[in-house]
Amino acid sequence: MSNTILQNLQIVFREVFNNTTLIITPLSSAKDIPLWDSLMHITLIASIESKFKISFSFNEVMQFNNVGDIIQVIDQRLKR
Amino acid sequence: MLKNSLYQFEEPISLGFLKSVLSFPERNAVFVAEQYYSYQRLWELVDFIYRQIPTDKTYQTIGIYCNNDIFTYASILAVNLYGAAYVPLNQKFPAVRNKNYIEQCALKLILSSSESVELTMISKDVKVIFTKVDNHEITKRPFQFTSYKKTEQPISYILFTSGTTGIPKGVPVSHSNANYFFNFFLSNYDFNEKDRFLQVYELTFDGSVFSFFMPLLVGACCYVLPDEGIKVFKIPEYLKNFNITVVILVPSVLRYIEQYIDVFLFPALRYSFFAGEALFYELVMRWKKSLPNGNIHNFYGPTETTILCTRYEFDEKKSNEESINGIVPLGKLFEGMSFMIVDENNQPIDKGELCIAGHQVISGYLNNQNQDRFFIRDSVRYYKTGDMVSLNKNGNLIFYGRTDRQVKINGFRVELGEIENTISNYTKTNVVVMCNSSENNMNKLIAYIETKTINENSLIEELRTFLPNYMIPQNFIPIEKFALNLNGKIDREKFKNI
Repeated sequence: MSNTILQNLQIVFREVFNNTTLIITPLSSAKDIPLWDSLMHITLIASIESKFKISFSFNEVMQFNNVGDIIQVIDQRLKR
Repeated sequence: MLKNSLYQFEEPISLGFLKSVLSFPERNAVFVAEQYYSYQRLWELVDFIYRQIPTDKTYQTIGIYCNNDIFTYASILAVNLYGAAYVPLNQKFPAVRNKNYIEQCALKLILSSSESVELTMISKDVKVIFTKVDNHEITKRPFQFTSYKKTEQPISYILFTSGTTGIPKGVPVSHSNANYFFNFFLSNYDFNEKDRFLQVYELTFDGSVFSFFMPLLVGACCYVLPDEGIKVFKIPEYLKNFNITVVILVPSVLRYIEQYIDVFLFPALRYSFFAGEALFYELVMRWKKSLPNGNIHNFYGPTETTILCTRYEFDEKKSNEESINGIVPLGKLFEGMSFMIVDENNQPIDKGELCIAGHQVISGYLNNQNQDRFFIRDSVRYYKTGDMVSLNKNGNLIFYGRTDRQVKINGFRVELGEIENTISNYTKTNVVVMCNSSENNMNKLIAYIETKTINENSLIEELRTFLPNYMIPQNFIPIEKFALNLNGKIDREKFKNI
C-alpha cells in the first residue's frame, strides 16, 4: 500500500513542482526540494487531497515533516 | 527620556535589555532551538560575544550571518550594545546578494555561529568571528548597567529592500528612530514580564526587530519559531503550545492556514497584530473567533519609517463600515509622526500618495541612493511611501494600492523592475513581470518573456543565484512579440488583460 501511495505522491509532486524528473522518497522534505515553500506546500496539500479524495485536518497537516509522514497519514485515512 | 526607561533616545535600544537583566535576571528571555535562556544567561552570552569584537579598531557596521540559534540573537544584542549598526545576512539569500550587502555596507567584520562554504566565499577580505561556544568556554564577569558603546555612529541596523534598478537599497535606521518607535509601544500598551512574544520573521525583515526587541524591553520572553519544515504551519502550533500572548503577523499567514482557522482557539493571545500587507476584513472576522480574549490591531509602515508608524484598532462594526474594497484601514499615525497626501507634483490632495514625516523617518538611504524619495515642505522633511491613500471622516488612513510597480509577496517588498532586469540580463530579451492576485487574495508573480521558448529549469536555476525564493515568478510565459504602445514602448496595459 505504501509503495502505491508513494508512486501516486510522486505524480502529484512532479505536477506541483513542474518537474518531470523529480524523484521523492519517504525521507524527502522541504530541505531537499527547492521552491518547496509555504505557498507550494498549500498547493501540494490541496493536490494530494484531490488525488486521494481525502481532506486533511490541521493536526494531520502539522505532522507532515517529510514525505514519509504524508504517506503514513494517507495510509491511515484510506484504511478507515 | 523614553517612557519606562533610564536612557536617552540616541542610545542603543539594547540598553532596555540591560534594564530587564537588572530587573528580571531569572526570568526567561528567549526560547530558541528548543531551549530557554534566562535574562542572566542571555547577558552572559551577549557579554562574551561583545568581548570577542576586536579592539584594535572601531567598527561602524558589523554583519551577522544569521542562524536560528541563541548565538545569532545574542550577537545582535552585542553589536547593538557596542554601538555599531548590525547588518543581518540571510543564508537563504543568494551569495551574490549577500556579497552586495557586504560591499554596500563596507563590512569589515561578520559574526557567525556557523561555518559554511558560502560564508567563506562572501567574506573574502572581511574578518569573521565564530560566536558558537560551549558553556565551559564562556568566561563571566559581573553585570553592570552602563554604556558599552565603542562608537558614536548613529545607526542601529541596516536592512535592504528591493530596488527598481536591480540593486537592493540599504535602509539605515538610527538608534533614535528605533527608540521613538519602541517608545510608542511602551507608552500605549501594557506589555509586561509575563508576556510571551512569538518571533516568526527572518532577521532581514524589520518585523523581527519588533518581535525580538520588544519583549526584551519589558522582561518578557521571545519565542523564536524554528526554521525547519514549513514555518507557517508552526505558527498556530506555537501560539497554542506556548500560550503566546503577543504576535505580529503578515496577513498572508492567515491565507495559508485559512481552511483550518475555524478549529483554532488561542485564549492566551492578548494582542494579534498585523502588518506588511493589506488586511482583509472577512479574513480578520474569521480569525477573531480564535481569539476570545485578544485585540486585533492593524499596523502600517515602510522600512524607511522604522517598522510601523500607523495603527488601527479592529472593531467588528466600526471596521465593517470603514473598510474600503474589503481592506481594513491603516489607522492613525503614531505620536510624533505626521503625514501629507500628495499628487504627482507633491501638492496636497485628498486621495494620493502618502508622505510621512517625524522622528521615525530615516535620514536617507545608504550611500545617498534615491534621494528623490524625500522632499521638504514648510521646513518639514517627508518620505514618499508610494502608497495611495485617503483620509476618512474618522481620521483613519484608507489604503487603495501602490502608485508604482512595487508589490508585496508574503509581506516582502518586491520591485517588479528588479525581477524584470534580472531575467532580462539572462535571456537578453524584453521581460514584463506582473503580479496577479489569486482567488484568495494571495499575490503571485508571472513573467512574460519575449521569446519563442523558455527553458524554465535553467532560468529558475539562474534566478536563484540572484534572487530570494519569494521573488522568483511562479509562471514563465513566452510571447513571441510584445505589443508596443504609441510611444514605441512595451504596452504594459496589454499584460493586465492576459
